[in-house]
Amino acid sequence: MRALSYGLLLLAATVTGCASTTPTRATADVRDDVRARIGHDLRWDRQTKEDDEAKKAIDALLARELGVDAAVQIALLASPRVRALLEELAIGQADLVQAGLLSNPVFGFGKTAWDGEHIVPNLFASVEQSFLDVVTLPMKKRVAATELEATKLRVAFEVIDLAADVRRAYYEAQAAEQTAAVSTLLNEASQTAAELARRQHAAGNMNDLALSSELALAADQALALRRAVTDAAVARTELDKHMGVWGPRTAWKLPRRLPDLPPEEPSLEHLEARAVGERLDLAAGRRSLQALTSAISLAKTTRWFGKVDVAVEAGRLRETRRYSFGPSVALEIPLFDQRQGAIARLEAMARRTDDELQALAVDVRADVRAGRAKLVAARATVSDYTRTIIPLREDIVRYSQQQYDAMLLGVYQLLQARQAEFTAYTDSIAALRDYWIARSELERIVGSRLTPNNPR
Amino acid sequence: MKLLPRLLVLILVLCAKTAFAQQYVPVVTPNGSTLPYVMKDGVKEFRLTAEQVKREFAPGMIVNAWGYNGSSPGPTIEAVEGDRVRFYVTNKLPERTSVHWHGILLPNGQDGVAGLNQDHIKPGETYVYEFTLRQHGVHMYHPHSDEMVQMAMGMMGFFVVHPKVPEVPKVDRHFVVMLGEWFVEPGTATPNPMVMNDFNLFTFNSRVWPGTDPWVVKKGERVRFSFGNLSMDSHPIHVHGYTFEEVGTDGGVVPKSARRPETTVNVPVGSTRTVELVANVEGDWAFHCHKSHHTMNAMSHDIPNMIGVAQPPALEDKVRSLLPGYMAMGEKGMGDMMEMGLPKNTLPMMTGTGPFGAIEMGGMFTVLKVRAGITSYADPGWYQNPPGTGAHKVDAPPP
Repeated sequence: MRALSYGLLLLAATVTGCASTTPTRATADVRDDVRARIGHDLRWDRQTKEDDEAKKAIDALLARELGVDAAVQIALLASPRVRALLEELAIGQADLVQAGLLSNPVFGFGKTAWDGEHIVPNLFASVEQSFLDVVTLPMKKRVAATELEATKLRVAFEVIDLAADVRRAYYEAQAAEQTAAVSTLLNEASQTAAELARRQHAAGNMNDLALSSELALAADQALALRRAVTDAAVARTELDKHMGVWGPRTAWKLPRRLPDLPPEEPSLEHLEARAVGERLDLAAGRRSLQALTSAISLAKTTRWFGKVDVAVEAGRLRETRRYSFGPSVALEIPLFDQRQGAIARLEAMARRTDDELQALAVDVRADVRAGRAKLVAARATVSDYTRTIIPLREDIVRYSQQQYDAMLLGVYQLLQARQAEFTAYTDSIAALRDYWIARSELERIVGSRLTPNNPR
Repeated sequence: MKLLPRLLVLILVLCAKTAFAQQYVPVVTPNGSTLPYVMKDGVKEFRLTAEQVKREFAPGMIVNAWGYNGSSPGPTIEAVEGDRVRFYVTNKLPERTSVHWHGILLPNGQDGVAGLNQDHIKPGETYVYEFTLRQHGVHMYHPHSDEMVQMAMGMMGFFVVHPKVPEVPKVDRHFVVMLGEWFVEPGTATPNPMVMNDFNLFTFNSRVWPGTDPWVVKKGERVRFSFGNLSMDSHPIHVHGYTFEEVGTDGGVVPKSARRPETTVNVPVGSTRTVELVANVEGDWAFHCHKSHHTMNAMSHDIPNMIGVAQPPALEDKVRSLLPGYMAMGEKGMGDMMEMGLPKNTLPMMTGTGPFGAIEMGGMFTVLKVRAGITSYADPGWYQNPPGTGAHKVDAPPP
């Protein structure tokens, strides 16, 4: 019996292994997944030495002109949201450890209700251990490990999604700042026209009606400028939120202009297949399904096994005054509960997961097509601005200047031509912003960058 | 007995015809030409082709006009009182036309009002007009079919009928000048016939200063100027340095008793006016329409009025920060604002340089150049005022 107890302890030690509760491996896997898909480094902030490096890296990134990749990198290093996500890994890891633990032996101690002839002073003790655990433990561990795999994929997916949020906020902020800058010029043009009008009026060359009209235009423009400046400030704080920075770290500086269109679009063919293959939420779903399948087979395997409790009991013999041990086995007879309900429930959950997975795949495919259409359209719009609309507006200014020089056009019309050009710039900024957002969105949908890490 | 005098008269007439046939002094059409003819069975036969033409208003500006025989105005028709004339008119325009002989006395069927006196001459068709000239004077010809468009596009010309018996005193030099108004949008080339008042180009024989040739005469010559007006406005044509007398209209000769000295002859719409002077004062004398907008080129009539509006350098700089090429203008007038830049095919508003600098004129403007001792009517260059006869700068005299 002693041998049995030792055996049990040994077995327990083997089965539970030396599984750590620190999800180092899981974090590394997530980091690899993220890096492979979006090219960014992910660190886990846990007051370690690595953290100091991360902090230094963040400050170094913020000290320079902030590019879109830098913004994403900062978010991955600094955002408490990312850290919160990563804690999922710790939770999953803990679950895995938990799944690998044998249930604890039950120590019983008691006094018999009757006077035993042999046992004095009718006291006994027992150690009871469920043996089903020993059989099911590896399977349970496999289920938990698969679930941890799913969690890792889900976490990586969320991180990539969050990176797309950062990119969107980045382009919004940059476009808003650029728009505010153009709005400043627009306002200057209006205020200058207003000043000319005031002078013309004072000299007796402009009537009250015309003056009021000029002044009203200038007043409208001043309002528009204030709106644009506020929009830019708000867009900045959105990016602050997404990067997870506050205080002195919010003093970052963006490049003055949105990046130009890349010379060509990466091949948009086979994107659907790529998305279905690469999306980590799909992979996570598949892992969840796998975990459920394992759980079902576990349940099915053990449906005819009831609980097997093995116990060792001890009592002191009256005559010999020695302790005596005796084993006992309690077998559950699966007469009524053969886990039909639990198995059916698990099977239904598996089917549901499978359906959800398929639905998600259909959604992803459709989203890829929509995202691709938006990207192509956004690119065409930007091209229209850069190839047609802006050059035409610039021509109009040039020709207006020419006509002004020939005294065929007044200064107000000249300034208006310039203002129309500025408005076209503003529209083109919005178009370029929409392009980069469409691109980020498509990357979000595909689950990875369209081209590996393009700068800015 | 009655036959002999008649025969004599006939012989005299024939002799006179032969004698005087080419004895008139041909008119000068500055920047233009005279229409040649051939004699056929005693009839002067002319050919006119109505067609689209390119007319250079001044160097650097070509207008898509309509005219006759490659020019606008059409070539000047010259004939003599009593001539029988025949015109073959071919229509090469994209639309139908006709020719009206403005001021000429003729049979009703030759008067050329399409629809009233004759069929329209359709594109590709040729019509013939034939009549005998029963008067002398300066007349015109122009379409009487879609005339709003056709005249606005430049279809008009002179029809000068010389007197059968040469005038005394003899006229040495006779300029015929058709006055024209156009709207050619700056930067374009085709006149807009829909414009009625807001014209931006005013022409002498479809040319604008500085594209108008100078009118060169020898000192002492008796000079006649005929102005024809088929535009939408009257044009008061003014000479410097002389007075002239109005000697004729498209209605005929003004009797001597009715002539009076003028320095400006107002040429009404639909008329010709002929004035005469003796060129006895040497010099370069301005000759121009006295409506000041008519001595401008390509001007805009709705630019803000900046006269007296202070535009200090700081404000100018502000505009320049938005528009780097900007220059404030108009504050002190427009005289010194020329040629900063122009749309293509557009002439400066005020242009042309003289010996003393910018003349600041365009449009209906030219120079009457009177010179002693010249042997040709080629441009003799700028007049050199004899020393001490010119206005010059001095210190202001004490009050």
